[in-house]
Amino acid sequence: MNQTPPGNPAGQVSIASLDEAVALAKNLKEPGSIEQFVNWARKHSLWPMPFGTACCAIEFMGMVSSTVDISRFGAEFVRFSPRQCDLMIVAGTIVSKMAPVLRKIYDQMAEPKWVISMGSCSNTGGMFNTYSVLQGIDRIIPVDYYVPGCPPRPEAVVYAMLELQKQIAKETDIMKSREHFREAWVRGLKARGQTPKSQILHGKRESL
Amino acid sequence: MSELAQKAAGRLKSALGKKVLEILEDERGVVVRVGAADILAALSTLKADGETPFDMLSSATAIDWLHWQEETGLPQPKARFSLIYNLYSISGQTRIFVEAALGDGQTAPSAVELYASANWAEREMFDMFGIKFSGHPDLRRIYLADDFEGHPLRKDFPRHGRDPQDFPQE
Ligand code: SF4
Repeated sequence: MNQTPPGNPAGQVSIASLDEAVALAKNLKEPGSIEQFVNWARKHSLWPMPFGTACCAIEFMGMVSSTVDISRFGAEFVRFSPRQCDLMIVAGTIVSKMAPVLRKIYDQMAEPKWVISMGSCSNTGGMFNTYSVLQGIDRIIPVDYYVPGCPPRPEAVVYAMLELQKQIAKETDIMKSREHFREAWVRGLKARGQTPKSQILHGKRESL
Repeated sequence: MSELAQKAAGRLKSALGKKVLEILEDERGVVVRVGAADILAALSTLKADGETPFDMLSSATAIDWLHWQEETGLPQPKARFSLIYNLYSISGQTRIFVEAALGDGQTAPSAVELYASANWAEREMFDMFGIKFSGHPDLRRIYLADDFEGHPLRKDFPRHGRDPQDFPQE
């Protein structure tokens, strides 16, 4: 148990992310380094908002509990209030009656925010190719990472989260880049001949 | 067990006479066929039965028989829908089914006055089949969104729903 990590003086434990922060803090005077420091803080404090509606949410529990444990990556608190979260994990089947609720909760989250779509159901409707199920949550909200699987293993979702952290570390103007991301989402929908179902944003549900 | 139900069906027959169209026994148990107008008479007689009062409505549901013959080769029922009431007698520990044929667009009498549990069951039938119940206190959709169009368990409802963007029509 008393092993010291190689390359470290005795008794000093190295935590990679902290070392990174110390290195960043040392050159705070350089241009752009403040953003980098903020990005570092941000990527290690993603608070997930679990939007669990079906079996994938059970797998999500595995992600939070001790074996996989996303708090190792700073996603310490799973909060059920959208106001306190910046990473929405949609885990489960979204029926069309639930879709306006999903959109509303997404809108209630503060910027900047990200979305991971966990499992086939939220990606594409999955095996529920039927009248009552929304065929992919990207019809109503923009999605950053799609995790395939029915259900995906917790490791797969953690992988998506780590990819998201890498992406956050590269940001320079985060608000603008989120804005661009959302515009690209709308363009993508139009290119596929779909209209964004964001009408439900304003309480209109005709097209759902 | 089914003797008790058979006896109750016999008493129902002697009370209602010709209103009871048929008494049969199949894999479900004892089934009593009545006309749609006589549903309430049959239910209230069975509920007030002296020996085995059927005091619980376990479920009430409907069947849409559209395209039945084409798809199964079995004889086509004359009416489009069947209403099926599944009654249980707690003291007699036995079950009986009341079945009634209902044409498309016809209104059925609501059994909410007799059995409180009919409330949601009838709302479900309304939601899924579009069957209307007269005298129901609160007949609106129960599962689907209020602005959903159509009734999905009708056999003429498109299998994938109505949105061509989500479901390219075959
Ligand atoms: S993708 Fe599979 S495991 Fe996940 S919610 Fe859908 S059916 Fe359940």
